[in-house]
Amino acid sequence: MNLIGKQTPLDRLFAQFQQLLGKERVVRAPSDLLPYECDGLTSYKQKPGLVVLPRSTAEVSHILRLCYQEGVPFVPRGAGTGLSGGALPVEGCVLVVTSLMRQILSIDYENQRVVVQPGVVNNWVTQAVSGAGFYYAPDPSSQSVCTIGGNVAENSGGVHCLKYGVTTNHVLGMKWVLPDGAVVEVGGIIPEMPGYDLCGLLVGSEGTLGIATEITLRLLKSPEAVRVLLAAFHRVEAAGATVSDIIGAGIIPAGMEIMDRLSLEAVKQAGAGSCYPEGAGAILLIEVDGMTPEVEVYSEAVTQLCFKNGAKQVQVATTPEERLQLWKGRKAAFAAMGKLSPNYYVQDGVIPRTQLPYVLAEIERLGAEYGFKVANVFHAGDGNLHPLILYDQSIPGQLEQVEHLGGEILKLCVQVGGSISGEHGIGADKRCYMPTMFSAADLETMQWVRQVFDPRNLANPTKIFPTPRTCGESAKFVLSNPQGKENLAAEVW
Amino acid sequence: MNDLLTPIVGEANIQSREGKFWVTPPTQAQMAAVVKLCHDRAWKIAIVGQGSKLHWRNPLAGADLVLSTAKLDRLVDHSQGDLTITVEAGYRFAALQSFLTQYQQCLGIDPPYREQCSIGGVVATGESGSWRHRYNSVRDQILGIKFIRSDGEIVKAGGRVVKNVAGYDLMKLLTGSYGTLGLITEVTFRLYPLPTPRVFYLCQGSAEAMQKLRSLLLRSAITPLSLDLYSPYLLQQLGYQPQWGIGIELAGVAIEFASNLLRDIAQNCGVTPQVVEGDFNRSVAHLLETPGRCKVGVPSAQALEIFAPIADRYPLQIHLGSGLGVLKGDDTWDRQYWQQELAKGGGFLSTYNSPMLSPPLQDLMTKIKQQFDPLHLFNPAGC
Ligand SMILES: Cc1cc2nc3c(=O)[nH]c(=O)nc-3n(C[C@H](O)[C@H](O)[C@H](O)COP(=O)(O)OP(=O)(O)OC[C@H]3O[C@@H](n4cnc5c(N)ncnc54)[C@H](O)[C@@H]3O)c2cc1C
Repeated sequence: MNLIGKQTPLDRLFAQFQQLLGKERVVRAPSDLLPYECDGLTSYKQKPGLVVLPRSTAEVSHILRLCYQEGVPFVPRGAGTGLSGGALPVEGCVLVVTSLMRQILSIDYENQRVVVQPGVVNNWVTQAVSGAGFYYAPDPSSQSVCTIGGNVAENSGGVHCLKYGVTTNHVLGMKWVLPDGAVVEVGGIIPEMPGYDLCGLLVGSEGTLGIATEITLRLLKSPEAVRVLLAAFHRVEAAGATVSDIIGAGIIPAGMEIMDRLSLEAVKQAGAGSCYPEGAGAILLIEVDGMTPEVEVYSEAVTQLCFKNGAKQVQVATTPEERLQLWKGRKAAFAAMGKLSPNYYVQDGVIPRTQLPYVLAEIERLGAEYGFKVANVFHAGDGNLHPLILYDQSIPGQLEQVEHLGGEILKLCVQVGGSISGEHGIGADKRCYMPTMFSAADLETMQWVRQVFDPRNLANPTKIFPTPRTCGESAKFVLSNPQGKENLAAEVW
Repeated sequence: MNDLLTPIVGEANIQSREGKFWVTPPTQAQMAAVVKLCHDRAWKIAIVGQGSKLHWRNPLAGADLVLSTAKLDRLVDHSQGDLTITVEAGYRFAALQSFLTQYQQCLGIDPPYREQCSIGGVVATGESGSWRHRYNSVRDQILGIKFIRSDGEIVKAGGRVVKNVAGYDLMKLLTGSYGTLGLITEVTFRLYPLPTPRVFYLCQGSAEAMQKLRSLLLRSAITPLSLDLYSPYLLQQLGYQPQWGIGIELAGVAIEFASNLLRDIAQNCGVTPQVVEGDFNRSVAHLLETPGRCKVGVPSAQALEIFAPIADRYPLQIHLGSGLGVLKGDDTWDRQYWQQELAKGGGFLSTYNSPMLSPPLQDLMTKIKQQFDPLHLFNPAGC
């Protein structure tokens, strides 16, 4: 703290926040800031200037208004499980943590919706409504810790998003605090309210347009019947081809996930894959749900397609306990990588599903070329790949090489008509790859939105969009004017 | 004006209608060049697709010229195995659905005016229909979009894959924006397997019976394609008893199972489902066409109660999954009163040109319009 001489904006904010929230909900001591210096992407670290822990929309609004007055940037944070550095603090920022905003505010079964605070953990929602026969569909593998606010900001997906859609398809409305502290209500209790679809625009905005403080979610009724099939293959390409065949046959399962040999090895070592067959080159997990007869017909058809593509065996789980067992290894896969290697780097590219066999082979080739092992665990039904590059951060230069390899994989995804992120977001990690997908004019248009919501560039600045400082001279880009008068497009692409 | 337009699009693509030039550029680049010209000259543009909704309001008012997407009607890419399709905005909706039928695929949308409307029109108005129950709204189907900005620049957002979070979701912003933010030239949709076989049931009965049926159906194992509530007046117009009704379209391999379940549930409510031959949803859509067409939204569970006072006099359809629907008013009814009534319960009534918005949102939306179209060139009558 700056005791002698002039007070900094952060000093003033510290005092004001303490007055507003009490001492215990404002954090400034360096040692107390440590847990907040990174998110799930631990290779980037930066301590925030201050951490605040609001409890209500009014408090968030007050905090942002004060930041606005002082011209200090803020970064929203949920559980910090993000994998793109979205919640990574920027230097001298106020980190607004939602972990005390954890109430489920109301449940309306007749209209199938629930209102929650942003710090509510994803699977609390399903837990709260499952007794009445409902559930909340988007289920990221991190669902036992990640927050609904984080899900909204990243537009998160999960293993059941193939049939039911990602977060944006389940958010009806939000109370939203704009970067100047103003509170607006977008969307509503009914979808498609008149006017521009601001709710749809704000979902997936990665904390760069303000903070969600109340979220109205759609509930789905639990399906009558659910079955999980596990097919074991010699090669991951065969599992990929089966996915294409299933979709091509007009069957849309609730989810289809692939784990390759390396990831199977990891979950087995971590003790989470005991029910997975020994020695398989890949497994394909398929969840089929709906009315009993359709589940029967589709499971049979899916089984046939697995065998047609050379499956060695197909296991079926019908009871909730058996199903949970089959999913357990999949959900534990990222964490299990620790068994194989000191560090791992997750990529999150998307490709057209029909390109799976080609792209998987290419990833293997690229991994070999760079000298790294790459494990694949992914949402195969959506074509959303998660190559996990195994490395050792203590070896100088490895992280840089891994990031380079990750970049090559992303370029491959774009080349075959895909995307550089399916669900983890762009954040701090992938902004330099935005120009591989979007032109200068495309990015400038997105910045127009930013200009409207955050003309002073205070909300999670430096995320999503490429900047010269971070992406180097080679990335010619669109700059948003920090003074916020007009956007100046540096037409130097 | 003609002198400047002709070099860009050629004489054959310019017509004079009702005192205005109608320009129909055959390529996206030419379309962009015309928009650029309009930008430089500050000419106001009315955007039309196939012109299927021209009678909704007076969309040409205040425009210096009309730009039509009718010739931007190419199929850009159909990735059959990926269940995605990219088409230009002028592609006709009906033609696209019949093209996809050959592949046993479909768009998960059954919009009003579906015989005439263009894809761009469906997206710009965000109009879905009864199938919304299973597939969700138009915006939920869109994976990527290309549009021409008011300065004539062609830009895109999203992509061609079914999952994608790179950059802001401008698809959502443009869908339902009535052409006020940009001229949509190309759209990528997710596709679905064609729902077959299909059967349509109509259940009629008292308001109490329908309320119970609604609640039981929404909680049952049945996953219908559509689930709609109709006012007694609407059903009377179609030749049925003047009673409330619920229409249920079932599809897929479990159709018999679902039909049996439906019969059991209906019996429990004291009603008997009748099979309706032909396209009932389409008959309803036709009946609800303009004039007087209003879009409404109510909490689904309250729909019967809220509309009870006028259900004997006006055609009304509510999609029970979402609470969205269409009400066809006439000259004698008090629209403003109903606008306020519905807003009280968190719903709305909009007549396509007068959405009711609270001040902070109106302010934000005005700023967005200002940012995207500072000269107010696009659809001057639309906002
Ligand atoms: C093991 C593991 C598995 C994972 N599996 C999946 C998966 O299957 N699918 C998937 O999509 N993701 C997955 N993730 C990524 C991550 O869990 C999701 O992105 C999640 O939504 C982040 O939530 P969070 O609460 O941790 O948010 P944080 O990491 O704290 O923040 C994420 C972003 O949201 C912003 N933010 C947070 N709260 C708000 C708010 N209230 N308003 C506005 N912005 C806000 C932050 O600024 C940041 O940009 C996984 C992560 C891990 C570690």
